[in-house]
Amino acid sequence: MKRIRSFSLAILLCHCACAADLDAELGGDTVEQPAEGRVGPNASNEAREGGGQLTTIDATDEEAWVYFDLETGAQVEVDDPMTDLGWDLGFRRFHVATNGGVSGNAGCEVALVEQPFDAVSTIPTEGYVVDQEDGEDDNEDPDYAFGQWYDYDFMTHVLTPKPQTYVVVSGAGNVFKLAFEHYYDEAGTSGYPRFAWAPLE
Amino acid sequence: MSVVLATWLAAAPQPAPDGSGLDAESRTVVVTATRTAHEKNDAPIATDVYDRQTIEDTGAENAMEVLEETPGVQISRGVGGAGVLLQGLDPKYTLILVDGQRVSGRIGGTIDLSRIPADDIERIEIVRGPGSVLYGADSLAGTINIITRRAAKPWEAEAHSAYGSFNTVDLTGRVGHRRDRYAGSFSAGVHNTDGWDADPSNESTTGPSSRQFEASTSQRFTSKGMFALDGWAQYLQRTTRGVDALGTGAVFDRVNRSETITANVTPSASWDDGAFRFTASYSLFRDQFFNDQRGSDALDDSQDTFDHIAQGTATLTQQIERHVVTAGADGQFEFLSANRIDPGNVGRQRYAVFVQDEWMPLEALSILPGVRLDYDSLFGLYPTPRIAVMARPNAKWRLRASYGRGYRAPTFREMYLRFTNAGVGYQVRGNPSLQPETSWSTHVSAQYFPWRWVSISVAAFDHRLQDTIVVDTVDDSDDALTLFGYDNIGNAESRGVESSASVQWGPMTLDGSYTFTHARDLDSGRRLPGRARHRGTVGARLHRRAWGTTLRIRSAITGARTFYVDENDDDVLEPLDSAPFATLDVRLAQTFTRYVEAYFGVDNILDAGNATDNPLVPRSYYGGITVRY
Repeated sequence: MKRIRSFSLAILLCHCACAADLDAELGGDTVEQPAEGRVGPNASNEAREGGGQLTTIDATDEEAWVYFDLETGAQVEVDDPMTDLGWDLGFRRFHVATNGGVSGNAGCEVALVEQPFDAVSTIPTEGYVVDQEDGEDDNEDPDYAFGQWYDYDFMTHVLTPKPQTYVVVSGAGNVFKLAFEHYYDEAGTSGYPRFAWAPLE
Repeated sequence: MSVVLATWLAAAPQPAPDGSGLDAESRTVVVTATRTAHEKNDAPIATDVYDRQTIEDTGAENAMEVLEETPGVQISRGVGGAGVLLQGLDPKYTLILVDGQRVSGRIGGTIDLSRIPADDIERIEIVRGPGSVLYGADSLAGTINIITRRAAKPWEAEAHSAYGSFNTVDLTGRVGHRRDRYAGSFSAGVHNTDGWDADPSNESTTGPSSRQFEASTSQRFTSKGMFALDGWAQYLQRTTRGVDALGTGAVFDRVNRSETITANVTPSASWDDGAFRFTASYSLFRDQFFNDQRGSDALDDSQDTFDHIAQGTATLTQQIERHVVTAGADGQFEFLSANRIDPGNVGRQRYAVFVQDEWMPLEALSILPGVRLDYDSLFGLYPTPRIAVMARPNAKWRLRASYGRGYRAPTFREMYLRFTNAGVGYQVRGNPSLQPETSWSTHVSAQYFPWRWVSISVAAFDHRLQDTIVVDTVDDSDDALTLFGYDNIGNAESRGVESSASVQWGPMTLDGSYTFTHARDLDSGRRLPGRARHRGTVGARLHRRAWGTTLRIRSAITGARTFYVDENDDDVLEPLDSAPFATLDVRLAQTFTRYVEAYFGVDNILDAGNATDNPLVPRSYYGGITVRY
C-alpha cells in the first residue's frame, strides 16, 4: 500500500503542477521502444494500428511460465521469479501473473479500467491490486491481479477476453496500459494470449 | 397353454432361439424377449419386428434406416454415430445384440447402427423394457436384436446396386445354397457417400463422407437327428471423414477408420420338448481416429482403440407340463486397449446364471417370472429379476404387464478416461469408483385385433433410473479451464404412452402411431435434453402383386425437443425448445419378371434438419436395381 500511496501522490502532483516527471517521481527505468518480431523464444511483437504494441506469448506449456519485461518489451529468462526483479508479467496458459504480491517482489500492481484500450489515457489513482493467495473460489490458483480477464463459454469452451483495459505499474515503476485481444493463434490453438500495450504517461 | 406351447414346440425343431434358419415364408416368430420362440402376437413380452420383406420394402441400406421410423424410437446422431433413443432413454441404455450376443464398439454410449448393412439382416426385434433378466448389463430401456440372414432357398443369388444424392453408392452381392442338412451364404458390399453440409457458412461439415466395405458368411449344418451347428462371421471396414471448425478458429480434418470382426458359432440340440444351445461369440471393434489441425500440428490427435468382447452363453429350454423353463449361464470377457485411458489396457469378466419360467396356469394366462444373477469382476453381484404376465381373454385381446430391474455397468471410458482436449480447452477424467446404474421399470400394454385386418395397441411405460452416471465439473482443476468427471449422482425417470394402429385392406396397408414421452432429471426437475415429448408416424404401403408394384409413403412428425443453452452468458443453462419437424419419404418399386426389381425414392422430401440440433440427411433422391435368383 505504501507504493500505492506514493504513486497516487505522484499522480496528484502531475495534475497540479502539470510538469511533474512521472519517471522521476517513480524512479523507474527508461522505457525502451520495443523491438518488433521475435522478442524471445515464446514472445513476438508487432506494431499496433492506432499506437502501441501487440505482443503474443506462446504460453501453451502446462508447467513452465513465460516471463515478459515491459521496459524492454521482450521475454526474459527467470530462474527464481520470487527474487528476480527483471520480469513484469508471467504467462502460463490463461494464467497471467505479475511480479508482485505472492508472485514476486518487484512490486508490480494492476488496476482495472472498464474502458477500451484506446480510450485509456490517464493513470487511475486507485484500484491497484497485487497477486494474492488463493481465496474462496473453485480453484487452487493464486488470485492473480489480472483476475478473470476473459469470459469463458462453458458450452463451447471458448475463451474470449473481456473488453477492458488494465493499467500496470511495472516493477521498475513505469506505467503501462494493457488489454487482452485474443487467446488463440491463427490456427485456433489455445494458450497464445495476445495483448495490446503501451506506456501510459 | 396351447398357444405358447404350440408355438414354442413348433419352433423347437429350429432350436436356434435367435431364429436363424427360419424359413422366410414362415410366420413371424420372435425370440428376443424370452430366449424362446413365439409367434409375434403371442409373445409374453411385446416385441416389434422388422422381417426381411419389410426391410426390403423400406429400401434401407443399414439398420439405422430400418429403425428410424419405428414408433417410440428416436434416432440420435452424434460423434458415436446413429443410436437409438428408446422410450426417452439414451442409446447407452439400449442393449444391441447380434444373433443374441453382445457386440463391441460403443462410442459415447452408442453402437453405430448405420454401420450394420441391411443386406445381412434377416430380422430386427425390438423389445422395450429391461432385458437384463436374460441378457445382463445395459438393457434398461430395451433390447434390439439384429438377427443375421441365412440362406432360405436351394440356390439363391442376389445383386443390388443403388445410386443417390451426395454420390451415395451401394453395391452388394450375395450367394446362398440350402439343402437338407446344409445352408450357407456369402455376401459382400461396398458403400460410399460424399457426406453433406447443412451450414455452408462455416468450414464444418454436418454429415461425414463414408467409405465402407464388408464381407460375411453364414454356415449351418444339421444332423439327421437332433444336432445342428450354426455360424456367422463378418468383417467390416469403414472410413469416415469430416471437418470440424471450433469457436477458437481451429479447423480439424477428422478421419475415423473403424473395423469390426463379429463371429459367432452355435452348436445346438433339440428334442421333442426341449432344446439346448451354446453360443460362442467374439466381437472386435478397432477404431483409428485422426484429428489433423489445419495450419498447425499443435492440436493434432490420434487414437487407436481396440475393444474386444468374447462371450459364451449356454441355454437349456425344457417343457415340464405347463411350464417352459429356460435356464442358462453366461460368461463375458471384455478387454479395451486405448491411449486415452489410464491404464491403457483394462479388462473385466462377467459370469451370470439366469432362469426363467413360462408358466401357463390357464389357457389364457401366461406368467413369466425370471431372474439373472451377474457377477462383474469390477462391481460384484447384480441380481436383475423380472415378472411378466400376459392374458388372452379372447382371440381379439392381448393384455400384458411386466415389472423388472435393469442395470448398466459403467464403461471403461467412464472409469478410466484421461483426456485433455487442448483445442477446445477441457479435461475429462474417468472415475474408477463408479458403480452401475440401476432401474426399475413397469410396462402395461393392450393389443386389440377387432378384425383380422386391424390391429390396435396401446402401452404405458415407466422407467425409474437410480445412480445414473453424469458428467459433472470437479473442483480440483489446476491447469485447465474446466475439468469434467463422472459420478453416480443422477436420478431420472422416463414415462409415457405408445400407441399404434394398423389397417390392412386389400393391397393397402395403413399404419400410424403416437408416442408421448416425459423424461426428466429427478434432481433438477428438468426434462432430459433432446427428447421429443410428442412423436407420431403415419405410413401407407400399396402392394399390387399383379402389377409387381409397391408404393411406400412414410412420415414421422417429431415435436419440440428441449435443449439447454447459456443464452445470456450467465453460466446458467436455460431451456430452449427446438422447432418441431416432419420427415416424409416416398419409395416406388417395380418388379420386372420374378428376378428384377427397380426402385426410386425420395427421402426427407420436406428437407427437414439443420446443422445444430437436428443433423438429418437433407432431401435426397435415390434409385436402384436388385436382381434376385
